[in-house]
Amino acid sequence: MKKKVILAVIIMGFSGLVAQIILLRELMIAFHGNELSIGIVLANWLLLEAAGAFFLGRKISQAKKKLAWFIFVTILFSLLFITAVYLTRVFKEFLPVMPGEGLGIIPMFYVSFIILFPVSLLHGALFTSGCKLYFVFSSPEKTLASEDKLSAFSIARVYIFETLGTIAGGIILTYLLIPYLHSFEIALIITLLNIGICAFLLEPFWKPRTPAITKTGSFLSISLLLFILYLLFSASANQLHLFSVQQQWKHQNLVHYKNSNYGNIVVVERENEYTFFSDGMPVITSPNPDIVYIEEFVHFTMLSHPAPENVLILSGGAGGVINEILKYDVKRIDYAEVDPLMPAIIKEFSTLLTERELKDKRVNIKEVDGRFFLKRTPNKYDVIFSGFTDPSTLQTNRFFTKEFYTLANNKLACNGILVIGIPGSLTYISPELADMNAMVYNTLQTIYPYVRIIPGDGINFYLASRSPEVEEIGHAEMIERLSAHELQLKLVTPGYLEYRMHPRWLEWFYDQMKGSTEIINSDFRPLGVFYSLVYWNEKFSPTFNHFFKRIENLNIYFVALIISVLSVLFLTISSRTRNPLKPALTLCIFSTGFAGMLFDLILIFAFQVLYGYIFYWLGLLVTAFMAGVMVGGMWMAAHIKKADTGMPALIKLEIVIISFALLLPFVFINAGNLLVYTWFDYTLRIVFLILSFISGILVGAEFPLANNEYMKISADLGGTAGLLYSADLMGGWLGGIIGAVILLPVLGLVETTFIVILFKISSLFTLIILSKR
Amino acid sequence: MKNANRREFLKRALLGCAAFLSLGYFIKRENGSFFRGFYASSAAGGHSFGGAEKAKGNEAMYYVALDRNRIRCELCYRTCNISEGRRGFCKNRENRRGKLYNVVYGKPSAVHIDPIEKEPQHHMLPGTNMICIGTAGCNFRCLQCHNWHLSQRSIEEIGRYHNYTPQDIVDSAIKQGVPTISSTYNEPTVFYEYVLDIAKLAKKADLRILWHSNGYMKPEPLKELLHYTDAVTIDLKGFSQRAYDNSAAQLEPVLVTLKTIKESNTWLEIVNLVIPTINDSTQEIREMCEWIRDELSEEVPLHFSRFFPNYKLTNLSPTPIETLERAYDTARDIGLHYVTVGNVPGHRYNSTFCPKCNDILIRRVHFNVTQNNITDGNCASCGHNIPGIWT
Repeated sequence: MKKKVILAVIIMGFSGLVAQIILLRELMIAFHGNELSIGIVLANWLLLEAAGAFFLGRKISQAKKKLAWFIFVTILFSLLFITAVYLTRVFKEFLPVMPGEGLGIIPMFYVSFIILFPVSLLHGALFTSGCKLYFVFSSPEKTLASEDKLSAFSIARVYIFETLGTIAGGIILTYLLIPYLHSFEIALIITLLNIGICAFLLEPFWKPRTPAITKTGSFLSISLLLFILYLLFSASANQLHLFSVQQQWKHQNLVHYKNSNYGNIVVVERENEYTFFSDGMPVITSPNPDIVYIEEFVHFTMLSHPAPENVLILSGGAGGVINEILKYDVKRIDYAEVDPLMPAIIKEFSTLLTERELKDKRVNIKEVDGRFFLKRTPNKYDVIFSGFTDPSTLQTNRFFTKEFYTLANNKLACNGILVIGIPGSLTYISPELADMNAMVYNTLQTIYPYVRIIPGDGINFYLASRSPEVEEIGHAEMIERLSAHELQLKLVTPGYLEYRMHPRWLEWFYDQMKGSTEIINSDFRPLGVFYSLVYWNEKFSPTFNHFFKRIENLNIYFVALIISVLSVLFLTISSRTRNPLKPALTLCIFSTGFAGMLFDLILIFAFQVLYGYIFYWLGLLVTAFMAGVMVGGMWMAAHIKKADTGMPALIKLEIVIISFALLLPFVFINAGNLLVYTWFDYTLRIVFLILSFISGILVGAEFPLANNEYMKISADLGGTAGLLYSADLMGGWLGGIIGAVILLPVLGLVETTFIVILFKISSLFTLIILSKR
Repeated sequence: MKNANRREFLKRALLGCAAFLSLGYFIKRENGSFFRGFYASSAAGGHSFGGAEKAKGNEAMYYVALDRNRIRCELCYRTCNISEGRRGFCKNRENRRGKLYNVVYGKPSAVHIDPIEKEPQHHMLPGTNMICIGTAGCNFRCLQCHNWHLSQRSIEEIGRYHNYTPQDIVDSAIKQGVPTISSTYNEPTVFYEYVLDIAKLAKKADLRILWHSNGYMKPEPLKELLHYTDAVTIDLKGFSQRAYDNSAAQLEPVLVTLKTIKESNTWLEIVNLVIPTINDSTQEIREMCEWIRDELSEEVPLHFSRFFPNYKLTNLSPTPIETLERAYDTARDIGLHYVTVGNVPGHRYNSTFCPKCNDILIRRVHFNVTQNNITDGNCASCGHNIPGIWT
C-alpha cells in the first residue's frame, strides 16, 4: 500500500508540473509574453499552491477518511485542470475588452489568479495530504524509534518523490507531449493517469465485504477511466480544442494552430492575406507585409553600404525582409531563426512572397539561436539585420547588449553595418521611450565609432559601423545608389529619401532625448528588460508608472537596509513567541526557497547569455537542478534515519549555501572572454550542469532537515508539512516575481547574488540566535 | 467556529466572483458599450493634479456654470459635469472655483512640418507642406491610437511642451513659407480655444487652416471655428456602434458634425481606418458610403486606411489589401467620386482619378506627389471640374 502511495505522489508531481507549464503557455498566448507576465503567472501559481498546502492540505490531513479525500481531490484537480485550459482560451469573453486588445498588469493578475486558483490550490493540498497518507501507511513498519521522526521522514520521502515526478514530467512534456499533442489531449492524459492511480489506490477496497460507498467509488473511477479513454480516442478532445481556439480567435479564420517548445504559432487567413501569430502577437503578414517598416529597414541600410554582398538576418527575415534584400546583388543571405517551427509553417502556408524568399538559392536558413550562430560563424558580413524590436524578455535582451554589439562588430566586414530597429516616433517621444532609445544608443556608442540614427514614425533605426560612411552619407548618394541598382520600390523613392533623411528630424530627436538615461545595457545587467517593461507599462497600466520610476533608482544599499531592518523586526517578534525556533526554521526554508529560485534563474539566464537559447540544454539545466533536489533530499532523509543530525547540521548547511552563492558570480563574469577556446566551451557547459545540480542538492537537503527539526517541537505532521512546503513555495514566489523583473534587470547578476547572500545571512543569524534560547 | 466563519467567507467570496463574472458576461453581450464607457470614464482625467507644476491656462469657452461651483462643459458631446478642482474626460479642461480653464492653451507638445497628404487631405494644395500642432489629451479612448503618447495623457504626465502663443505659430508658418496650419496628432476639440485663436490670426495673414477631428465637437463651437477654417478631415471610425465601442464613444454625434460641416461649405474629407473584425464588413462599409452620398455629397473624398497593430490593439492582423480594395469598389459602385486607399505604399488606389474620364489626376506614392494633372481646378484631360482647394 505504501508503494501505491509513492506512485500516487510521483504522479502528483508529474501532474503538477504539466499543469503549471501548460497553463503558463496558454496564458502567455493571451498575455504579452514579456518577463513581467511570466513572473505574474508563475507567482500566482506558487502563491496558490502554497495556500493550498498550508490551509486546505492541513484540513484534509486532519480529516477522518484520508484516502478518500486524497482521491477526491486528485480527481477534482484533474477535471479542473481541463476546465482551466478551456478558460485560458475563452476568458476574454468575460472581460470588458475588445477582441484583439492587450491586457495590463491588473487584468493579467486577476485573470491568472482566478484561472489557476482551483488547479493550483488543490495541487498544493495534495502535497500535504500525501505526506499524511504516507505516514499513515508507514506505521506498520515500526522501524523508527519515535513518531515525530517518522513524520519528518514521511515529509522528506514525499518531497523526494514529488520531485522525481516533476523531473519525469519535465522530460516527458518536452520531448513527448508538447511536440505532438495539444493542451486538451495533454490535460486528458493527466486526468487519465490520475484516475488510473486512484483506481489503483482503491484496489484493496474492491473486495465484496467493504461498505458500499468505496465500492461505488472504485467503480465510478474505473468507468470514468473508460469514458475518458473514449474521449481520447474519439474526436471529442479535438472538438473541444478547436471550439475553444475559435473562441479565442473570434471572428478570425484560424487555419493553423501548433505548439513548439518555443511557443505557439497560429495562422489566420482573411481575404487571401495570411497573418502568422507567435504567442498571440502578429509577426508576419504575407503576401502584403508592412511595407513602410520593411522597406525602411532594408533599404535605408542597404543603400548606406557601397556594395552589400553577404548579409545576415537575426530573426524576422521571412515575410518581406528577405524579399527586399534579394533585390540587390547579394551573394549570400544567412537567416537565423531559433524556432524551427516558424519556417516550416511559413512553407506550409506559402504565398508568392514567401516562396520567392525561401526558395532562393542564396538564402540559407539556420535553425539556431542568432547569437549562437554569430559566435561560431567564420563568415564576415556586410550587413547584419537584427530583427528584434524590443528587449522585453531576458532572452531577447541579449540582442541589445554591449557584448552582442562587440560580437556583431567582430563579424562585420570593413564597411559592415549593423542595423537595429526599436520603437520610436516622429511626433513626440515620451521619457520612457527616450530612455529606451538612449540606452540602445549609448550601448552602441561604446563599441562602434559611427552610429547613425534615422528616427521614424513607429520604429527608429540605428545603423552602426566602423566606417564613417554610414554617418556621412546623405540622401543624394542614396538616390544615386537607388538608380544604380535599378530598384523599383513602393515606398523608398527619391522624394521619400529626401524627406526622411532631412536633418531636421535628427535635430528634433536629439532635443527630445535631452535628460534621458546614460545607462548601458549589458548581458549581466539587463536593463533593457526593465526599460522595455516601463514602456509597455506606460501603454497598458499607466497607474504603475510612479512605482516603476522609483525602482529605476533602486540600489543595493537600500535593499540591504531593508533586509536588515526586516530581520531585526522578525527577530524581535519571533523571540516573543512560545517557541521561537518555529519561525526561525520557517524563515530558513523561506529564504532557501528564495535562494533556490534565484540560483535557478541566474544559472539559466547566464547560460542563455553565454550560449544562446538552446532549448534542450536549458531543459537539462532545470532537470539537473531538480535531480539535485531529489538527491539532496534522499541523502538527507537517509542521514536523518541513521543519526540525529540536529541544529548544527542545519547551520552548516546554511553556511554552505552562502558560500555557494558567493562563488557563483565568479564563474560567469569572465567566462565570456574565455569561451573562444573550444575546450573551455564544453567544460563550461558541464560546469553549468554541475552548478545546477549542486544548488538543487542544497535546496533539497535543507527541506527534510528543517522538517525534522520542526517535528521535534511540533506534533502536527500535516501542519508542519503544510507550513514548510508553503514557505518554500513562497520563497520561490518572491524570488520569481522580483528576480526576473526587478533584481536581475536593475541590479544585475552580481548584485542580485549579493541580495541572496544577505538574505541567507540574516536567516542564518536568526536561526543561531533563536536556537540558543 | 473559526473554521465555519472561514468557510462562509470563502463561499461568499467565490459566489461574489462568479456573480461578477457572469454579470460582466451578460452586460458585455447586451451592451458592450455600456461597460466600456464605464471603464473608459473611470480612466478619465477625473482627478485633479496636486504637486509642484500645475499647468496654468486660458479661460475656456462654451461652458455653463451650475450650482456649487460645478460646471458643465459644452464643447463636445460628452458634456462632462466637472466638479471644482477636477478636469473633464479629455484631461484638458479644469474647473477652478467655478470657472473652466483650458490647461494646454499655448502649450503644444508636438509641432512639426509634414506633407499635407499625411492629414490625409488630397484635394487641398497637393504637394505642399503644413505646420502640424498637437497637445496633450483627447476626448476619445481609441485602442489603436497612433499618437497615444500625446492623446491618452494629461499635460503633466507628458511633461514636455513648447510655449508658443498663437502668434508664434503663425509667424513660424510665414517664416518657413508653409501655407497651411493644421491642428492634428491628438484632437483639436480638446484644445479648441488655441485652435480658434491661431485660426483667427492665420486668416489675417492669409494662411490656410486645416484640422483633423473625430467629429465630436458640438454644433455651436463647431460653427464658430468653421468661419475661419478652410478644410477639415473627419475620422469616421466606422458605421456601427461596435466600431465606436473601440473608442468609447457614439456614432450619431459624428454624423451630425459631418452634416454641419458640409452645410457650412467648408471643404470636407473623410478618412476611415479599416480594422479587421471590427468595422470591415461589406454591409457596414456600404451603409457608410450610402449615407455619405445621400446626406453629404458624392464629391466628398473618402480615404480607406490600412490598419496595423498599435497601442492596445495588438492582437489583430493588419488589414488585408483585398479588404481595402473591396471597400474601394463598394464606395465607387455606390457612386462616390473620390476614393483612395492609404497606408499601402505603391498601391494604385493611393492616387486620385478623374471620375469622368478615369485619367490620373494626382499621382501619389505614400505622401509624395509625383504628378499633378489638375489645371485651374479641372481635369487636364477632359476638363471635368474637380472640387477642392487648388491655390
